[in-house]
Amino acid sequence: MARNIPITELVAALRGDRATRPAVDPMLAGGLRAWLEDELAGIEGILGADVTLHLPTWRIAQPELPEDPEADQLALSVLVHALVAQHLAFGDVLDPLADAVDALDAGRAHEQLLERIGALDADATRLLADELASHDEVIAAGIGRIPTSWLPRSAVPVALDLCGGRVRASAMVDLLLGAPATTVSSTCLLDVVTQPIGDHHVVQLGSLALIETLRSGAAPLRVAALSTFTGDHLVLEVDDALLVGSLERMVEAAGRCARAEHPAESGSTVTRLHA
Amino acid sequence: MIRHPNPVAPKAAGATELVLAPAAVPERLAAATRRRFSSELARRVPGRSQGTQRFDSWRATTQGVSPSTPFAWSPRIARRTLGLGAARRVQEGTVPSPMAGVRAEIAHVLDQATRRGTGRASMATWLAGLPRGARGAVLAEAATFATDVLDALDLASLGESATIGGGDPTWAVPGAPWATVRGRRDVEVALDPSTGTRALLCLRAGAIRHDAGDDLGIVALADALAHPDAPIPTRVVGVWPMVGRSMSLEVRPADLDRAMRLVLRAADVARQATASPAAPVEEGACLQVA
Repeated sequence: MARNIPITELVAALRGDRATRPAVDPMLAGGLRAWLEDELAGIEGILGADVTLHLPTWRIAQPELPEDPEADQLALSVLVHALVAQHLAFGDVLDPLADAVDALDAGRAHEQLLERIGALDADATRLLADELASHDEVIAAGIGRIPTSWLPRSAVPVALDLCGGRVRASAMVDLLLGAPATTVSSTCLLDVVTQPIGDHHVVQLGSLALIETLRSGAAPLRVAALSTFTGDHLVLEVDDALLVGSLERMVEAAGRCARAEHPAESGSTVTRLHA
Repeated sequence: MIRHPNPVAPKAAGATELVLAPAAVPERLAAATRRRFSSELARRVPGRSQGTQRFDSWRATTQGVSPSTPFAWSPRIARRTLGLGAARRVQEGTVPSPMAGVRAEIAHVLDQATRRGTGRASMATWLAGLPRGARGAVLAEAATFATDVLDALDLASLGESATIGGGDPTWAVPGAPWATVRGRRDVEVALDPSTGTRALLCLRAGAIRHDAGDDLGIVALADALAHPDAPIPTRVVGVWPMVGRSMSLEVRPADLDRAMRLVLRAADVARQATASPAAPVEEGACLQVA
């Protein structure tokens, strides 16, 4: 179920009322994993020997795309995601471009991007700084100052190895809130995107919820997306219907992606089940 | 022997059950085995002129040589040191959250550096010179790591028996003290203080690998070497937060024997990389632990 709430109340809406959180079903994750493994059992017949099928959530949502739709805006996306960490650390950002560049420079992981930014002339630098500042305003409005007692974590990689490691579903969680669930669901996941939110984000968030459920052993409370481009956001309550639908889409995407990568083997079980 | 957690228990409870499972008191690493291993390793490691040589899980399982690029601090490298310190502060109740713990840890590191002085390559020097954006990245990375540590076990049920951080067990090779065997472990749990039995917990990045047992075995070896008067660790539990997996290596003499062979082979590779004549590792030269 999608929920409509003002952006300034996004984080509060994600956490919700403690008293109304659903109880954790300790058998759910194991059951979903067994179901998923059964559905994907035939995929080894499609994949070549020693090939791992990588299924990032964007690919599950849009299997026909050759690359991440955010890739066109990769530079902006990298800078925006660096700002999410800044908001967690300080609650605000003083100079979005300078702070993001300093953060990336310290990490030494985006040297080419930093070289390109460093080579921009004054006008282009100002344009980039202005654009990034507008994205940062949305981040500030959306995630603002998060209480540290909610255990906010940024850039958390999550993954699911299936079929003995032949299939890997994965995602990077931009913001993860809440302690691991024990008796009631308690974690919330936020995907920060630099493009407008589209229908595919519903699938992407559902896949993220499924991966987190199987990874952590308990379903998250909610999953959400925040577009720093438009300020739009989407919050989904995680329930059985969302997880089952996401499982079916993951199986379908695995079959399509495997078939696309290995067309000669297109007659195998997964293809027949989900053609 | 590898053991896996109860699949329907919450992850932290499952890992804690693995840590606390009853087991017989393990033996000590026999003095003769230790002597044999140390003399063999001292003979095989590159000479002192090649600089310090650290043999840890990564180096022993990948047979990698030391990186050619010079060491430089980064948020990712600093996160473990700061994150473990922060998690320990949360466990002790002196800070309310991992992020507050990281702030306190950074303040402590900088304060210590001010009092005692510090070298150019120290983390304190690096932290002190960071601009705001880079400091934010350090805080966020370390707080995320600290949260992973605190989430890995049911620390409330373990109480004071669990020690977070506290320094990795490191053993300098007698006769070649520039070479060390180090086990990267994040939490130590005292199982029975009267016998000195203990379990170790290791957080690992990424997905669980096929040689994860070897990784945990080398941690057990380093710990056994560093604590000659205590029994070998009862078990080493590995936790891979990214994929939500954990497993326990119930340490047996054969695991330490295999870990020794891996370290010796890594020493051979290191020696070959420095173009020194190398003695081949004999597969049959089993260093049985008594």
